[in-house]
Amino acid sequence: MIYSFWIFDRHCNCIYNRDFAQHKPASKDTVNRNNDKDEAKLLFGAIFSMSRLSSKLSDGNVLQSFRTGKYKAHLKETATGLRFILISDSNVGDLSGLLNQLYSDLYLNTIVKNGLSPVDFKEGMVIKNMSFINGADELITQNGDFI
Amino acid sequence: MSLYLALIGTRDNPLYEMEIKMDPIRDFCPFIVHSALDIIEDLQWKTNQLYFKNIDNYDNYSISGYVTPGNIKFMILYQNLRSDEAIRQFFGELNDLYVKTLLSPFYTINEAIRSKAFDQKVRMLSRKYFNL
Amino acid sequence: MSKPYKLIGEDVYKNRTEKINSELFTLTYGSVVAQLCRDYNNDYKKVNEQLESMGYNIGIRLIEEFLAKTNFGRCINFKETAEIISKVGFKMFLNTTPTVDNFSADGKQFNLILEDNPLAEFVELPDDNKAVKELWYSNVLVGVLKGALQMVQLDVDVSFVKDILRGDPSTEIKLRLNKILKDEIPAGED
Repeated sequence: MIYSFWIFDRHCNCIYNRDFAQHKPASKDTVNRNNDKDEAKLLFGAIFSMSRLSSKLSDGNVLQSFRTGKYKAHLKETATGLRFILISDSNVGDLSGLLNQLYSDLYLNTIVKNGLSPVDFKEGMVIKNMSFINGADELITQNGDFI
Repeated sequence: MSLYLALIGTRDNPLYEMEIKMDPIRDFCPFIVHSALDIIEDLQWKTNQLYFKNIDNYDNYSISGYVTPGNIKFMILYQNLRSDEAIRQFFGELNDLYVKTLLSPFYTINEAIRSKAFDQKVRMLSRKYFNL
Repeated sequence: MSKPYKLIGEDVYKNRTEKINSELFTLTYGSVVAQLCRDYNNDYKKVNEQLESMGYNIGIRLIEEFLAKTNFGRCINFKETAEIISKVGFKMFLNTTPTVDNFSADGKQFNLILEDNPLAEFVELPDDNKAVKELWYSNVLVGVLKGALQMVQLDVDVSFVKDILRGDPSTEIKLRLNKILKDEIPAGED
């Protein structure tokens, strides 16, 4: 069960957020609803601090996921400071393949290669590109771990 | 052995001229070539060949021509050159040089070719084919 | 352990990149430069600036493609950056491998010598004496490098020093590391 998908950019802002409600086909109004909420800031803060901690513990140590009683967070950070995060329930295995796909196939092709879509997001700007949103939904809902 | 080469654009404007040992009639060369242009312009629509040999005469000078797919004409006025085959091959390589000139983004069609490199290469070609 | 960057570069170029006809590419770039020269009335300094700014916009995107295809992380030092740019980056996008030269003692500056420059094939600069002294034909490369490196937190000054089109013996780009940018932290942390 995958609960939500978040993207934070190199300026520490949440540029994309998608909630997948349980037992209901995901509706479009759950896109980008939580970008400015505390939840986003807390999530980012947790990830940021833990990544720093892991790299201090050992050189080149990259935080890939962490798990609590109720959920598991899967992370991908690129050298350009983009952070892709998937929140799922505790039993889900390794989602790094899905994260890589979301970056290399989806983000790259719909945002980076699209000349009309910004790559440098200013404060408050989010990803509104429908190709990206639909593509992300498809990739995530069709992943074996989705439900 | 002497030779006068002219590259003529689509508006009958000269793009490039080269002359070797044409002293007695040097000043007449452009005019002679120009009048031969009319002949070529008639002939070019009747055939699909690009090389026109010996289309005109002036005294004992001959004129041959070559038309590029872009309607640029290479005209050569000559006396006692070795062979028609050499002229044909010369025109072939000259066409290659011309296409390379066209590929430069700063060159517009029908503009005069002022590049020294082009001039040197054409002279090299004439040495290669005609020993001039 | 030195990674075989050359092999990585060749592998990515052969197997993971889409290719287009190089003449089409050269002619497209050429018409961009020629049009800029006409638009700015041969003010070559402005043309250089525009080319650099176009390159910057390309660079900030190109770096994501580069990272996605090669999976590289951040470099340990500037020397590694130099090797990766020349053996993997240039190879992947332009199928040419410039040589890294003149690496400074403090490790902050190096030159890239391009043996063949696919952007400038068959190009001859216009005959007015200005172009040969003022125009850097391939200046888009300067912007690409600057933009791409900035996205990985490296503030680098990039500029052309020599160009075959100008009559110099080789085409050379100089890269100088100004500083390493700090990763941004959210307000309130630390």
